[in-house]
Amino acid sequence: MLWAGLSGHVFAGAFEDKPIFLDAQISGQPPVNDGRRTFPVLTKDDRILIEVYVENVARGLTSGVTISFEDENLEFSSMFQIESFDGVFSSNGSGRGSSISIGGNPASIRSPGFLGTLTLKALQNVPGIR
Amino acid sequence: MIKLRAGSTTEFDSETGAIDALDVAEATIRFVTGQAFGVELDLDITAGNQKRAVRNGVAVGETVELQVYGEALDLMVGVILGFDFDSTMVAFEAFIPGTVFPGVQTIAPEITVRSVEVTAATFGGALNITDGLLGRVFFTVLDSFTASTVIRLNTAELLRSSEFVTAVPRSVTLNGAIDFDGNNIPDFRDFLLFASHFGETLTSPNFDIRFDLDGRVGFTDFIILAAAIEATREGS
Repeated sequence: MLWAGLSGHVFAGAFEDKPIFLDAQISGQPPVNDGRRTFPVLTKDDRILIEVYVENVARGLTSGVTISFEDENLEFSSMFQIESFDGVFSSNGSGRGSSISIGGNPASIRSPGFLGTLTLKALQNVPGIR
Repeated sequence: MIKLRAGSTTEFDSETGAIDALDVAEATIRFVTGQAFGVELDLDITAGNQKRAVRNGVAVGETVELQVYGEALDLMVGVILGFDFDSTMVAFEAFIPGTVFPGVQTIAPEITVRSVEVTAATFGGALNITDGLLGRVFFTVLDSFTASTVIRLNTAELLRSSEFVTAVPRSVTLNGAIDFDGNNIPDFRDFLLFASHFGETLTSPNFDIRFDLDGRVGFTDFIILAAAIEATREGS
């Protein structure tokens, strides 16, 4: 997403087009992206934790992030509630629908680009695929 | 499958003031059948899985035992369990592998400021068992414990044949003060409320886990409550 500055030129920040990853494997300290992208099927009220990484960040001072899930036909928001985000910024409450925006004082993103841990709560049984 | 949405998954660059769109091409999570196993946490130290996820009346200095039970363990070789906790409230003390493992071997736990990872594996061949006790984990309640804390089993990873599979995370809650009426003081009102639930078990229609201090609302609960009331009186 490019932005027009007051001078008229268009610029992007350090995070533009940087890949964001979701990791289903919660690691210890320091966090490590294990590259796991699968969960078992869930039953209603199960909670899952997902680590969020932004990789290939040359410099990284950020003061906010919005994490938004695809939600066609309310497939996500009828299935999950975004309960919290805990990391470089922490949310005091849950997200709205399929998105959560978190911000705070500028924080640096260090290797390997760990942003935080997202907690989702299953609002109904979540079927799986083979 | 869930997937992050392109264009609206963004990060604010504090140095340039730009709101940057992130590349979400690889940001997906799938839910898969057929490979899962399950874990349950139990704070009830009696034999068997009572699935007790809350304990009330936890005292400073006490050692809390957390039992980890596994389901669908068939063909398991070993397991990794990763716990996250508030290190100002509790401290990891020990891990003892459970009875599901014949010829069990383990490695010293990996302990960080707020987490601990433990492991156990059998050298006696893959398990021919479905359910059972994976292990017992012990935490000490620290002097700085206040009100309530949560211990989370964030990682439960099992090696089955040559494939690692994970279970859904679980958590338990440790509550400090015994207080049923909400005034933060164990007193006679708590005693009367307790009396109205005396004798109830998990299968009772009006069972309320707040009154269950050790597994069922029974006489040992009354002793714990009475001690708390008397301790409060002596301390005031």
